[in-house]
Amino acid sequence: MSPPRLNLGGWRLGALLMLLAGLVSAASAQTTAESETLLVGLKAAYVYKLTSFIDWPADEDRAFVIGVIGAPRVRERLDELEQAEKRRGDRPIRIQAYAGPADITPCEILFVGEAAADSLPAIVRHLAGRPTLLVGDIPGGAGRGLAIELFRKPDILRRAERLRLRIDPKALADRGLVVSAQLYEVAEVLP
Amino acid sequence: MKPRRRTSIRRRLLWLSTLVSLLTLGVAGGLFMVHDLGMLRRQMVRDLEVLSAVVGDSCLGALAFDVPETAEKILMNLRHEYQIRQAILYEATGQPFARYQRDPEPAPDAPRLNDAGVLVDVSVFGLGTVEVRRDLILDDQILGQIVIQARTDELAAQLRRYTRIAVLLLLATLAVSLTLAWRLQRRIADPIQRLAARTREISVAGNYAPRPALPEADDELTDLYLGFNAMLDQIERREQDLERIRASLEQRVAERTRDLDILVREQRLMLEALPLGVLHLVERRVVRINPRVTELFGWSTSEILGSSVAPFYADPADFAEVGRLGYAHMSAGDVYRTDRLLRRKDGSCFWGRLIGQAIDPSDERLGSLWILDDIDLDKALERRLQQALDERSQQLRAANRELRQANDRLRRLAMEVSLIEEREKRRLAGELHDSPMQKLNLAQMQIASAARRRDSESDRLLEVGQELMREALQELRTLQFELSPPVLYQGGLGAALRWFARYTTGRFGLELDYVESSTLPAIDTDLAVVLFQSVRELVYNLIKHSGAGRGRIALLGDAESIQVSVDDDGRGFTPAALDGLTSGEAGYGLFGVRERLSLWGGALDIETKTQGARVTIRVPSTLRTRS
Repeated sequence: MSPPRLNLGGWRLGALLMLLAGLVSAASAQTTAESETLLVGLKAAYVYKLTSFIDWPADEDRAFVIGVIGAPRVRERLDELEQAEKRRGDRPIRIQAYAGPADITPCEILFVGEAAADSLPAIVRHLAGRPTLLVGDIPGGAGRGLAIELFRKPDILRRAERLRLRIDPKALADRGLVVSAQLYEVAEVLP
Repeated sequence: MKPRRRTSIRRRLLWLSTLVSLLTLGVAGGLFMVHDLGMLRRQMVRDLEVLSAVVGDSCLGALAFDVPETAEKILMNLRHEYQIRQAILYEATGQPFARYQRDPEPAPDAPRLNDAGVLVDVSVFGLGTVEVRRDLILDDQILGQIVIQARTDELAAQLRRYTRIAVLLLLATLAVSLTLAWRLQRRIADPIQRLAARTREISVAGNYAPRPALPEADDELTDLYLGFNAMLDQIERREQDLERIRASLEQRVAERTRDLDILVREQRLMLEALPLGVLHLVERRVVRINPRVTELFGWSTSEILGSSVAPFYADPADFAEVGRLGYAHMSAGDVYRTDRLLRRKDGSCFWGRLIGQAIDPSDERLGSLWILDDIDLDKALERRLQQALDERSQQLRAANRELRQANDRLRRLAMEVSLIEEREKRRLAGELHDSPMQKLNLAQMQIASAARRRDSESDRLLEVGQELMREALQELRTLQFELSPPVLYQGGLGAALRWFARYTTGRFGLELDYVESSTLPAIDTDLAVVLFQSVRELVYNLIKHSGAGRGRIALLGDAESIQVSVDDDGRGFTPAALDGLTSGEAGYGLFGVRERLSLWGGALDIETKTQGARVTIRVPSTLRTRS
């Protein structure tokens, strides 16, 4: 007696392959979502750490303001800093979200998300001459107004992507900001 | 004991000065080396601390932005420092972040992170490795820790350099020290050696006269020589004094030895002549004795010496008791005395008086001295005396008993005498009433009647009355004779008894004969009265109780005794009557007779014959007065 043969007809095989593809795509989507969440948190942490490697011309008699525009998820993670009552020196850190360039008030750091890539020139113009560090994750942003660009770089040894910094010394100098040499050591610097 | 190796003072001074120099140099060099190495090590640690701070600060950015390549690149800069063996950068989680190793090295311990501040942890493993740890802090937040380990080759090299220099210095110092000491010590050691040689000569030969010459230099050695010579002077004088004292002492010792010999001989003679045994005991064993002890016990001196005194006691309990009581007394400093029964070698026993005393009550190891006296004779005399005393006491008790019995007899005798007197009075009263009184009354009535009538009848009545008065007078005279016959005092006992025999025959109708011997001695009046009364009592008893019709009184005597016997032919005495007479419980007056006779040393014998009885009175003729 021979064992029963699995008879996979043409439509059955097609349905099975579609089911497997759906499962794989769902898992991939879940992994991608987790990576994005980690990446957002890493960006917020980098923005906070930058405060330790950059010197502003003079301390204002107010809170240390980190503005966010075009990156609501990053703002959410930065809000956690405010809730944790983090301070820079004697100044408490406040997170300020802006809807558009016109809303931007005086701040020490302004994170510009990809969603506000189109508004970058307007933002640069709006903050021209002010000691505000423009940070963002807009690809190619460094050289187009961002002083520090956060970008993803693959790590071959660890088989992962790492978040790296790219510095535009000219943009920093235009705004009168001094960056620690240690930051230059870990970042790519535009010529 | 291993003899000590002799080393001259010259060599000692040489080695001593050299040793001191080497020791001083060694200690100074050692201290300098330790100080310099310590300073060098502290400098190395300080450099490593600075290096760790610089490198750690450079790595802060790499740690903050997670760029290990940059950190490793920074750490690679440490390759220019040849002593750095490895440097490791740890994350705050303790995971290695970047590493630099000159050669394959074992990983250091996991980081120990602090909450805040900067920690410099320095560990020194001998001279091999120095490790510095520093926390990396950014805005009060510890990002990680850097650990740097470095070799201490520089320290080891410096130590080797110091060691070589020290050895060279020591050798040079040794050479210089030996050379200088060799030249300098001659000025010091030579005079001392000369002095020592002179001392040896004096000790060997005993000649103090030559004095050593003074050294050339005027220093402490000269003082030493001068002092040595002065000491020799004093020693010479002391030697002479000692010689005199020694001679005096020898003479005194000889005298004392002679006195001691005499004393010892005297003591030996005294001990040998002493009639007492003398023993010196230690722990109840014999250490020394005198000859008397061997005589007392019969053991030889060799048998006694060293042996226990237990066999000397007849009773082992005595040995134990003397040990318990005697040594308790002697340990208190008292003299212990006791009399014990002792045993000789042949088993015979004798009484001995033991007197013991400890030589020194506070030191019982010196033992005790005992004196032993043979008191066997004293004990025998004592026993005999006690025996005599017992016998005399017994006799005294017997005498007392007899005295009590005699007193009893006297009391009975006094009662008997009273009864006899009472009976005699009654008899005399009856005699007086029955006859003389009646006759005198009748004579009175006759005379009174004749006086009233005054006629011829009056003469007859007077004659009758006169006759009655004569008879009454005769009867009164007879009664007087009975009471105390005058013939007893005028004619003696024999005449009285003869009268009494006749009177009894005439009065009571009993044929009573009287006989006497021709050898009668002179009899005391009192004794004669007693014997007469006794015979009268015997005869009255005979008349009253024997029923005899004939009897005889016999008075016999010689120089020894007087004997009076009364015989009758009556019924005699029954055995019960005889027992009563002996104990005094019966009557008959014989008991009173016997008792009165006993006062004169006399006795009363009763003999029952075939018909009748014989009662015999015996009194000693020499004992004529009451004892």
